[in-house]
Amino acid sequence: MTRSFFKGLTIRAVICVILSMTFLFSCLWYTRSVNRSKEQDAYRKEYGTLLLASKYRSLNTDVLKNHKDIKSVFSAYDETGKLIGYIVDVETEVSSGKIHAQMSISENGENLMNIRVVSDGPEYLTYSEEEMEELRLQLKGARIPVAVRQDIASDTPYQVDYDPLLGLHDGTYYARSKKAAQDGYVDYCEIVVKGGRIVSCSWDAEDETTHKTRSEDSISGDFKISGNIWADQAYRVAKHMVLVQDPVKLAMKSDGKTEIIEGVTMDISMFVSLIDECIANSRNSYSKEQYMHDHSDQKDSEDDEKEKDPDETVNDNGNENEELTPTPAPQADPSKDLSPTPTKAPSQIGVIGGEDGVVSDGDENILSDSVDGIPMNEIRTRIDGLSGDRTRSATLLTAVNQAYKFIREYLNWVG
Amino acid sequence: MKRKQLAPHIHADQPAAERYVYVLLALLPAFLGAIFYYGIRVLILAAASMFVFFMSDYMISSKLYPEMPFHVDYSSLVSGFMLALMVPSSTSVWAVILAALFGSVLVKQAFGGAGANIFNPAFASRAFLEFAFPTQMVAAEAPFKGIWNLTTLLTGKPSAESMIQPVTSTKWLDIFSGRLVGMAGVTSIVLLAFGFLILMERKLFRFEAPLGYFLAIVFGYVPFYWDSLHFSLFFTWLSVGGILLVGIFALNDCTTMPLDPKGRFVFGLGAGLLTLILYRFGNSNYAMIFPVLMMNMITPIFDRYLRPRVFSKTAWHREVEK
Repeated sequence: MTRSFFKGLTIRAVICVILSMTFLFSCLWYTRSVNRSKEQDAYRKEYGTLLLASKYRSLNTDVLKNHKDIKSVFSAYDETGKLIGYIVDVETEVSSGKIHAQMSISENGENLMNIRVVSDGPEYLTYSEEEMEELRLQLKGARIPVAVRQDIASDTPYQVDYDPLLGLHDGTYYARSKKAAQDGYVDYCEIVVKGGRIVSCSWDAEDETTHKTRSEDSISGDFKISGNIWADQAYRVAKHMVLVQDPVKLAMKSDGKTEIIEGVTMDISMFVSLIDECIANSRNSYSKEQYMHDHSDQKDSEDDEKEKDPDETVNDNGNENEELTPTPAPQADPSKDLSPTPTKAPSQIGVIGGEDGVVSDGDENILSDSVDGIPMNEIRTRIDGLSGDRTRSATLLTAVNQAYKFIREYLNWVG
Repeated sequence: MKRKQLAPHIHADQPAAERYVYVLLALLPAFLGAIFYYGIRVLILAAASMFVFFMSDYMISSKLYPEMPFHVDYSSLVSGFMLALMVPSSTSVWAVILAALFGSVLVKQAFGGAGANIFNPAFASRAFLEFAFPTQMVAAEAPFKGIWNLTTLLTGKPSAESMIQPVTSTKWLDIFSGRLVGMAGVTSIVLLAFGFLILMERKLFRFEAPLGYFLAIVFGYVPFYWDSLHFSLFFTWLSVGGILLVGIFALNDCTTMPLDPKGRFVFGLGAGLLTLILYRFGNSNYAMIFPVLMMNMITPIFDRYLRPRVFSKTAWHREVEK
């Protein structure tokens, strides 16, 4: 073999490699682009009625492993590549049967944009066009998670293993921290007493500047703590409180933590302190209504004083006054009706907690139980559902709430 | 002065080694395609196959045929290379090594070494695999599946998932680029055509046998598959069935071909017809390999009855007589 042979061989080999690889990569590129285009067309055909987008991308995330009911999830983008929402395909089974629903959810995971039910067989629940239209009318644009109104209006079940505290009067009682915590939130608690027993309890906090609640922020990922999200831990603590009836039985340690409530790793000292105050208010029949009234008056007068002479709010040491003198609780009036405020008319779609975190009056924000494993204080919308068919309405909402749970975890995971 | 050459290139002007190196180059596009679709496993299989073929031929011919002018036989590399292209990418390296040894020892050296073998060593090795490791030979993976799965080199078992061909929207492009489930290096029509062009450019392609073969395939396909005639199916069959590799490379093997051009044409026709018969009525797994081996078997008959007639002395003879 001569040098010219090797030269000729090398030139031919290089040309051969370049041509072959160019051909192979060109084929691959073309095949992929055609497949992608056809795939997007197919997605548009299938999901366009739920959420019309320029591009759909299948989400393959580890979060899906925790949500067996979620069949598939797609993120949807507009022409500029901006995320406009998610398509979630849910197949879940409840006592009333199986349901396969597809829905679109806004990009921030807060609103349901559209929904439809797919029938995959006789074992799946079906809804007529009129029924779906009725449900869509109530659900389109609704903040999620969602519950049927009757679920909340019904009497709250509770366990009776623990004896209630003595001297509690029926009614709704409220306590609010006098100052913001280090994280900038002002904590507040509320209990409902029925038959001398605490039947529901809630704990949340409000940011003084943004007026968003801590549970909202924890769900959106703006407020993070170790372990479960704050809203979840707060719900567990409150639920346990309803169970044991006595804050002492929460077994809070000197560092403010407890080891007896599964999934709770945070400091609960503020909760215990506020619950003590709520219990004291209950014993004194100092209702939430009165409390709110007194404290708003007090706040107004304090604001007036601040405007007049700011120096007066500073004590001798030059520090700001840290505590407000609590208004003496009025004595209990047995003749006074302390039953909870009646719920809204069934036809009205209620929304708990607006964007500003302000909750509506009455007992609607009470953490009485959970819907589809979601704490009541997370429920954002209540609907009437199908008239006369609560079960099938609730089944569809279960699918919506499963999607919500996935999106919540996914958005937290994405950060 | 004529240089000493290994059979069957004793009278050729171009050194045999150079011819075989160009045949290797002609196989390179198909080999690159195999690596592209099935990963580095194909490279390892090819390296093992070529090494075993080459070393076995070298050692045995050194011992058995010391009178041979050379013991370094580049046709061994071609046989090893072709064998690696004709097996599924998930074939175990042990199977390929055994097949290469079978081809070298029992098919080539036992019959007299280079230029004396009756059967094409690469195809005989492939036939050995068909009988000895039948499950490995039918377990072809889909392109781009299991590219990084090197465990198949030891186990020979691809995952069931990797054997599922994904549906693509570019059927014709898949057929011509070889993106189909099949043997590692036989499926790409275009890449094998690149190899054909290299052989043509280096004047290493003798068209008689391939012409007969492709004529039989093209004209025989219509009556044989009358009930399921389809243009794209025909090209898929050409691609997956390894028809092009046989036509371009196997039927261009000087050693196992008849000497006479007419004989080579008939040889190709026969191979084509046998291929059609086996695909249509027999075991399609054998349809690529066995027509070639069966025709190899009757090559001596062609040479006996269709021997080239010498009409005049060559220039070399005249020079010697002067």
